[in-house]
Amino acid sequence: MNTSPAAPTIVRTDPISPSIPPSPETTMIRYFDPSHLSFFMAGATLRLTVADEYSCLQVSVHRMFPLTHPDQYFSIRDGAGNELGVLRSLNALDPNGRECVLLALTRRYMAAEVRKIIRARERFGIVEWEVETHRGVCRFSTRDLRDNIRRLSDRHFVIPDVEGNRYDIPDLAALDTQSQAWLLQHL
Amino acid sequence: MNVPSDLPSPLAKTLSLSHDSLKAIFATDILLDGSFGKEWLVIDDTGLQVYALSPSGEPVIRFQAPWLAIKAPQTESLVGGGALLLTLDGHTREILRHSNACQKEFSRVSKYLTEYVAYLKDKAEGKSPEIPVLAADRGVRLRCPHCNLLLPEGTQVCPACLHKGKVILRLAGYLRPYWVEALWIILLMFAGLILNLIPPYLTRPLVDQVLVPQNSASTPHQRLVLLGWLVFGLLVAQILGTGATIFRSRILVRLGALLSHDLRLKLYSHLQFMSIRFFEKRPVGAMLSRVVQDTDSLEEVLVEGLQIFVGQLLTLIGIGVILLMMNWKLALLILIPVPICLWISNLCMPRLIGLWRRSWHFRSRLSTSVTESLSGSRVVKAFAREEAEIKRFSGHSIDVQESNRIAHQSIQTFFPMLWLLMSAGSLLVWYVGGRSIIGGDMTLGVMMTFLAYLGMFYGPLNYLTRLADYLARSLAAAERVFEILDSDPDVKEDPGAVALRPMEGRVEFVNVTFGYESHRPVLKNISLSVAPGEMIGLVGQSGAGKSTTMNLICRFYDVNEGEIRIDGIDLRRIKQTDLRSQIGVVLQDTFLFNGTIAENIAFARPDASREDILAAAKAANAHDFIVSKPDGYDTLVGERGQSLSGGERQRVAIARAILHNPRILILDEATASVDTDTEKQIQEAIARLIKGRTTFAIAHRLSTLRNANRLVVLKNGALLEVGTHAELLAKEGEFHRLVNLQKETSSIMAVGK
Repeated sequence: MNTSPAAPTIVRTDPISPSIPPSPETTMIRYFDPSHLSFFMAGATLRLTVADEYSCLQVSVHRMFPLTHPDQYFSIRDGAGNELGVLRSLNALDPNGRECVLLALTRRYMAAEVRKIIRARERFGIVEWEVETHRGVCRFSTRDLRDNIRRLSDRHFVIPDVEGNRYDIPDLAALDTQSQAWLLQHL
Repeated sequence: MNVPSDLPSPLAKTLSLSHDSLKAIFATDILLDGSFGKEWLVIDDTGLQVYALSPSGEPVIRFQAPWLAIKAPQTESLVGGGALLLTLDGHTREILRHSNACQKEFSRVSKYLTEYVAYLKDKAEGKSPEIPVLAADRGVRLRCPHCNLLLPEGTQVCPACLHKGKVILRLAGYLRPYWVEALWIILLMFAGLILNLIPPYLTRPLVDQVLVPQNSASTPHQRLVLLGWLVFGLLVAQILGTGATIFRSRILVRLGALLSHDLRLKLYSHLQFMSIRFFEKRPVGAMLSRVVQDTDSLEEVLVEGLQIFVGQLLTLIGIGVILLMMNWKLALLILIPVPICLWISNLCMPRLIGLWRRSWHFRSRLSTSVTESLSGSRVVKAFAREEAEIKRFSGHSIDVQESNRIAHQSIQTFFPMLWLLMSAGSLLVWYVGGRSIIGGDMTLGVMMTFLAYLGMFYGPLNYLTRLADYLARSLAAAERVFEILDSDPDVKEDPGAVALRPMEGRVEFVNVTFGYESHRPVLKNISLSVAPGEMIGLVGQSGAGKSTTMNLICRFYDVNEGEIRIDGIDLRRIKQTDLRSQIGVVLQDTFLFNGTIAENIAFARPDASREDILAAAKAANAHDFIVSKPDGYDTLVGERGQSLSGGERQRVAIARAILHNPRILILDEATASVDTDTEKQIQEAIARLIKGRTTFAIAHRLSTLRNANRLVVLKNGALLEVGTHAELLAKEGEFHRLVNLQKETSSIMAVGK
């Protein structure tokens, strides 16, 4: 990916803490106190101010367990990809900041949540799917699905297509009977 | 010009595609709000526009920006796709979003936009820059242009559009070298068929003329004589029939063994020439299952399947004709259930095939899991994970058990029911035939003969309904074997590849960009020229691209952009055997094959004399430890060389490289993970090895690269610094930082001790 990593965009604010900005070689994880963080959007960019320490002009938020615990543990990174710290949960953020972070997460994690399997047709080891997701109807193809599918539990599946896109089925039992039959036929 | 093939006609009309100012059009598959939908990025002389379609299907411009307003175009990598960002009026704006399917295209777009913006800037400053060109789409066709089916990896042949007859013919082609045996099998099969048809035919005179004579003209003596002849006839038919079966089976077994060997060898030979990327994508256990089990299944199709199929078909036709000739009305009654059975069979068969595939997948996974666990037995024991491994195996084994149970139970239920339906015809024969006998329209002998043939008729018919299942299982195996045989290596031999022997050893990187996934480059725009005999040390943090550089020199992968030249010739245009025979590799994780030390040293030169082997071992500082072993050079190294220590394995590997006598040498962390004394010995051996050879070395300890002519510092895939050890230290850049970092680590370790 030719994302041009911006130079670290950390702006010190007064008072300057001697431990900031964090060094990439730091061996300890820094857990942020959510009440000290203010997230806000500037155009398409998420910005962060850590109270009494610094402002970062471009940050990204990465889920640390995107499949198993999507609502816990978030790595906050600066424009160069260095970790500024970790947030255990978004709950204690101020409502506006929380909304900004959720927006950034929705944007970053593009997996579609499957609500219905409209059709699944197998031809020569390729299964062609047509599914209804929370982002609309789409079609995709999978190859060697039994080898590639992620089974996170007995009911939670993640289907990767041949392009590397992911389709999440958080609860198989929540799908209609026909959709369940389509999926189980190919597992 | 890049134009999507499915560009809606209203948009094509609006854009007037022939217009000179138009540069390219790219389609996205996700809208800015994340929902699935299409938008189009149009690049022309004036700037960028993003078009969408209104609900009524009319093209509307959702975004536009003139070139002069555009700053810092970039793509942002997201999970499952990406976004195109521009800086406009000092703010970064997201212009459009796309899924992974469009990733490669938008990487090209981003690169082009960056170059074009720079071009305009240079032009405005009065310079005369070159007009940038949109990089050509190097993507291979992924879908069949006729049926839109995703094509198997590494091939442009669509299995759906492939003629089925051709597949059968291809399978039959493997029989060609054994046509004499095949001919014998066919002749014996015909003979057996005819001999099998004789006994029921003799039933008719046996009943009507001997047991229940229809006329009283023949005396009991005449009937006894006839009985003797008929029984003798039955005996001869049975003896000859059994003889034909024995001979046919013996030839069949021989042919089966030969074919199985041929197929295994062909598959294994093909695997040997596949590129590294091929093996990275496939688990070893699954490959093992293909080479061993699937070739056996194919042998079954070729040997037993084909001959049984032909035999049963001929029996069916032969008996059908006899039955029609004997009593066409009764014969037609038998056929009443057949179409119903075929219809049900066609309906249920895809599900049964699916069950077999599922069962095969679980067996393959079980085999992968066993291979993995046994290969890693040391780690399993070291971490006391035996119970966990047993639990994991048990889970996989239960899946196999369940999938097998479901598949078998379904089949064992389906086929008896089909058989019941099919045999309904015989009940009709009893009823209608019985009425004819009572009415005096038919003799008992005809009825008995009819019923005897009927018993023989349902057998092949039943088999032919099972044929779909049988073929499905066997053709699934054929599919898997052919999938490998039809896969082309990613790294292909150019048809016009040139010989390069002997190699001088000049290596040039010209704007090389490479990523294991082409849209995520690991090496970016690397240019470097290395003189013959020069030693280059590659330095950088983990993930900087050092090992990737080595992989590219060996041509385990092909570059995405730019080229690597050896002696001025593009690597892709050099014969692979010439290239590999002149490149030697010593890796940290030394791989030795199960065999003697001498065999391992002579791995690349099996014709090497014993003295050559001794000389190589001596130069590698391996001779003394080898001789001190009870079996000397005949010592078995064990699987993966496990009976030798790490340092010993390393020195055997160096001896192997010395004997190979390469022009270009690659040392990847060759002295890591050994004690200081051993390291000294290995260093000495390496010093002898690299003499006069172009050498690329990666070493964890930067001090070991002190002797390198030049050091190349890589960071995040980019070439950061080039120079001698002293020059780079004096420069106080990245290398200086890494050296200091290592010094600090060493002192911490020293304090720790």
